[in-house]
Amino acid sequence: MNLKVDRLLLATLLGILGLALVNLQSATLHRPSAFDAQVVWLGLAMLALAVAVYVPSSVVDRLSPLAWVAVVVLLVMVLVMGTKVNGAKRWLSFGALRIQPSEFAKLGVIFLLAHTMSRSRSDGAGWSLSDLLGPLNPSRPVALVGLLIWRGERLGQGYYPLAALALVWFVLSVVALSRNGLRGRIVAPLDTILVPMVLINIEPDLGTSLVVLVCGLGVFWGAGVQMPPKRALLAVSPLPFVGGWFAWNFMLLDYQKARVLGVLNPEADAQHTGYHTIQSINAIANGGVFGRGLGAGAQAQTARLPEHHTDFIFAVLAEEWGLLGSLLALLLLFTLVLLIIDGARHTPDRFLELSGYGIASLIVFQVVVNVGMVSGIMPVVGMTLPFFSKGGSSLVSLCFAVGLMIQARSSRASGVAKRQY
Amino acid sequence: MNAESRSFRALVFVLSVGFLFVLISLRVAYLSVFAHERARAAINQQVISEEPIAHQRGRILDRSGEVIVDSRPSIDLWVDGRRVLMTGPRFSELARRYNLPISSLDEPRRLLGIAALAGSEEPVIIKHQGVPPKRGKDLPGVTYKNGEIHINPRVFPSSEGIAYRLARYLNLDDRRRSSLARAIEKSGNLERLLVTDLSEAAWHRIGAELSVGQMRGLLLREGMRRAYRYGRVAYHVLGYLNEVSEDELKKFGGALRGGELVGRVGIERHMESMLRGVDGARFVIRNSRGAVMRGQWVDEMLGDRPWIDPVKGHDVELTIDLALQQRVEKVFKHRRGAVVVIDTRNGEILALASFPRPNPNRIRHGAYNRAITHHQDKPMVNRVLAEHYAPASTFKVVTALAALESATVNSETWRYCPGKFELAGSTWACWKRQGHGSLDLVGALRHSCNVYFYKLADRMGMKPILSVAKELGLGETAGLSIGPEITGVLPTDAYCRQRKFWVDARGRKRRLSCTSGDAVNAAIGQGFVTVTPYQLALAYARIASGKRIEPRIVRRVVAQNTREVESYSDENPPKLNFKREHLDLIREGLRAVVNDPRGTAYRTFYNAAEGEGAARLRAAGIEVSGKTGTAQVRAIKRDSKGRAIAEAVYAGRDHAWFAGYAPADNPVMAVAVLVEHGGSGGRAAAPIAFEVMAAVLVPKDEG
Repeated sequence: MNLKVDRLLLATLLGILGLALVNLQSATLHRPSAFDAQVVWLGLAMLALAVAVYVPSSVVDRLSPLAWVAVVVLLVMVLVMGTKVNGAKRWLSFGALRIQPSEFAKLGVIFLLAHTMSRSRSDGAGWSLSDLLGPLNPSRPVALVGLLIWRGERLGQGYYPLAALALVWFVLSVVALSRNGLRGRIVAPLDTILVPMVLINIEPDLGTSLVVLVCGLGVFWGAGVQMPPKRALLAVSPLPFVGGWFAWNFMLLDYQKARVLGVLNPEADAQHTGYHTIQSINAIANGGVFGRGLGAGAQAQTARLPEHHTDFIFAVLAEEWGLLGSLLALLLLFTLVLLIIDGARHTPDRFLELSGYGIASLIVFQVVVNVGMVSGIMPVVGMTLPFFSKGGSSLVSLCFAVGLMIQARSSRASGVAKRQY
Repeated sequence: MNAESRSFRALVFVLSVGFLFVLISLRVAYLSVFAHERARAAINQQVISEEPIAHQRGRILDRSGEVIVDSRPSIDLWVDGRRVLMTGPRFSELARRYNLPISSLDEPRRLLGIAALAGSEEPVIIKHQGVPPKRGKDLPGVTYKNGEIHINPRVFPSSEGIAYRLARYLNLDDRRRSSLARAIEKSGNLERLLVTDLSEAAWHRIGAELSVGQMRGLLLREGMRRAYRYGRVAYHVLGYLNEVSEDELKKFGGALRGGELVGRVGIERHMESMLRGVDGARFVIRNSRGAVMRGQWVDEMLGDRPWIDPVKGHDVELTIDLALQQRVEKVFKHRRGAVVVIDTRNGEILALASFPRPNPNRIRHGAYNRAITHHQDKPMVNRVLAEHYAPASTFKVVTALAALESATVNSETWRYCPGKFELAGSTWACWKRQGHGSLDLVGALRHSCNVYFYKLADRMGMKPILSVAKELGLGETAGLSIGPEITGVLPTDAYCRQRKFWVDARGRKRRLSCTSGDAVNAAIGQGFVTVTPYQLALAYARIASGKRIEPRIVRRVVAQNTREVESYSDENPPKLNFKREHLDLIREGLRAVVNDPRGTAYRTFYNAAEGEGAARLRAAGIEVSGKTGTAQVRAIKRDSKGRAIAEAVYAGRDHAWFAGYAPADNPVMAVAVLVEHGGSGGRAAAPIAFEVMAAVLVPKDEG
């Protein structure tokens, strides 16, 4: 293993982790035990990082279907025997150890998609949209029936058209299957995303399920999906609106709707939905340019900032480190994404390339939505700030993912070296 | 996959990412730079709270400086309604939303409390009849399913859960627990005092819960608790404190804050302005769990906001002699009535007691308060000042003095008592049916002969009696600073007109002024004449001293740095407007009541057993003067043989009086004793008076 490890990406990662650790320490001054747990997790994350850097990517590639199945099993276990916190079942407890399988699900989806899409269509023709979605795939109408059974009573009048749709869809899929044969279409790439996503949404955890979707879309982007003809796009263009209406009325829970409305006007309901946003906006603004100093953020230290060590940790950073600190953090994160994409672009390993896009999408989406939410320009969804928020599962899986990309950049260096000599 | 499209995808991706990052960076930069000032102000307002530092209320001392009442620091439990409410809607909202009677929520409340205590996630279900509510308007934590309302105990009001926890720590019963829950729920946007003076154990356990973020909205604060060191002793002098009402808060605006205690009766009320100090103030930063934050950043945020020390209230020193007061209350035992002791030399009230007595240390407990407020014995009423009774024979000194002053009689005048007195067709009986025979004034007082005084009154009329009564202090309030007080009744024309009227044939109301019959009644202290025990003691003190002494109960007011603020000294009262020999004659009569073998109190005084007050006085060679009184409560029913049969019925029994002073020839103290339904004054009231006199004049360890 005489791999030349890419120092640039590693340094960026360590810089982020260092900043995050100092900030978390300040955010948990009143509860040092929470910080200690995170330090232990950080040790595990360093282990995962080393594994990801040194274990050949082909091993990860080959294990990815198994990993995906394992993740789905864990997600089902969460629903069955998970630990409830604040009304949501998101955690599995093994004694003192508490893991959040949805964090690992993100990577599971990325790796399986990268695995699938780096193999099929190696003719170079590129994936078409219908390949990805597998619209005439019987698993989809079956899933729809599942949904009707699960949430049927919430649908009211919408129940019957949807049931009819499921029936017609299923018949069409069976017909299509009998004509075209199986050809690997029972689990299309969309299903790889959809299954964990639905499971996570049931917990309920809207934010993470959206992250899973975005990770998948990131891999699609990396794989280069051929766009369908314009006419087809026009035909489906009303779908998002119909879907949006449907989701608003039948799928979103009351508190989720309230949060969406809260963004539009946080002051209107300051005691409930808007409360979080107002507090975090005040915290950011209170920081000013140079910050109030470590451990001296009034909002952070008086815990008026809700969830200030998890979802709202950015506000602590902004309040105590000021604008300079928040820009530093954002710059480091941007550099990280840049280096990951750079690695993906140049690596000869197609699996790593596609994974890179997935990982970058994951980080970007969480950072943008989280900071957007904390600074009051996006709805409050449960979404953590990668590396910064307290949470072990997330830290371990992120370090593992970045480790893989360090390997991608490192192997490129050695590959070039091989060719030269 | 060609390299070109690979680079293209990477470029587009990176550019998009860059765009998004710039967007959020701009937002953060905008907030940091432009919203900075506004946010600082908002945070200062939200985070920094001005909190009062409780002042120490002045102490109440007895005449020798012994502390009777003081204040000690206590830990109080407060609720801040603004922070409790964030956990969920209130039951009133729930009732309105689903059209339920609020009383039907009692059981769900209880269940929610238990569920919240146990940390359960199981919803509490209320069956809902009638029209289902409109869709889509569920309250947070509440869902409506097919005629059932499911309430999530984690979200729905924490007031019940908090109350359950508190009940466990404070050992509250169900009723106090639910009233606590209501108090928490009603706290609205205010801070409310929930429980004062937590025990140390409760304080530590509640504090531990608060420190880990449980029971949001509760605060532990330092306060001051009033401690009545001797419990019930002197309750009717001291009074008690109670929480300021909402009306008073509105009325006095800034001077008082919610939850503060103010004096309700007695010294506590009437010397409120002296006893009350000024609260201090401090600015603190508390975290969301209520803990006070410390550190440099806190100091910087607080800046030069001042810390204002509280100012102690002034101490009030009473004329009450604590040892005597305790003795009085011990001697009186479990009877109803009143005792007053006045120093005849300067008018200082040495002891003042009304029975039964509530315990001021317990008075703020709801159940205790209700019990004593509605108790048939009326323990809250100060019988010394705020209750009036017919003075009966004790009033005869007034009649006698009036007769002397109006020259109706003199020391040589004799009157014959045949046992009854007739006037205008009516007959008044003497208490001795066979009559007292011929009596002079001293003899009449000694025997307490009714007929003698009927005759005097019939002769001289009402006027002289009224003027003497006034000179002795009857019919007037004292203005002692422990009120409320009442004036009692004297049979003035105005009073008679108010009470006596008839309606003539045309339906007009005809009023009658006092008649000679009223004067005859009044002569023996019945009819339209009532006095308070205090007034009677005062009258006898004035007779004893011959001066118009004005009693007082507050000696001086002392500031905390022991600088005297105000002192109420003896200002050499003027002499009574009576002839000296007249007063001497009365005094001789009063001395005979106790010391002449024919006197009504003679047997009580001279037959007293060893160790009793009277015996000790006798042993010390101290003579006592006084007058017994037995006030008819209702017309005595008699059986066919003329024997009273109402004796056995408590409420029908006579009130027993004794008023007097000692020593007889050089008086230093006057005493009035009233025993409600005590029967004969000589038997029931006089021994108490002798006991009290002995306590002052023959202290036990010396005699």
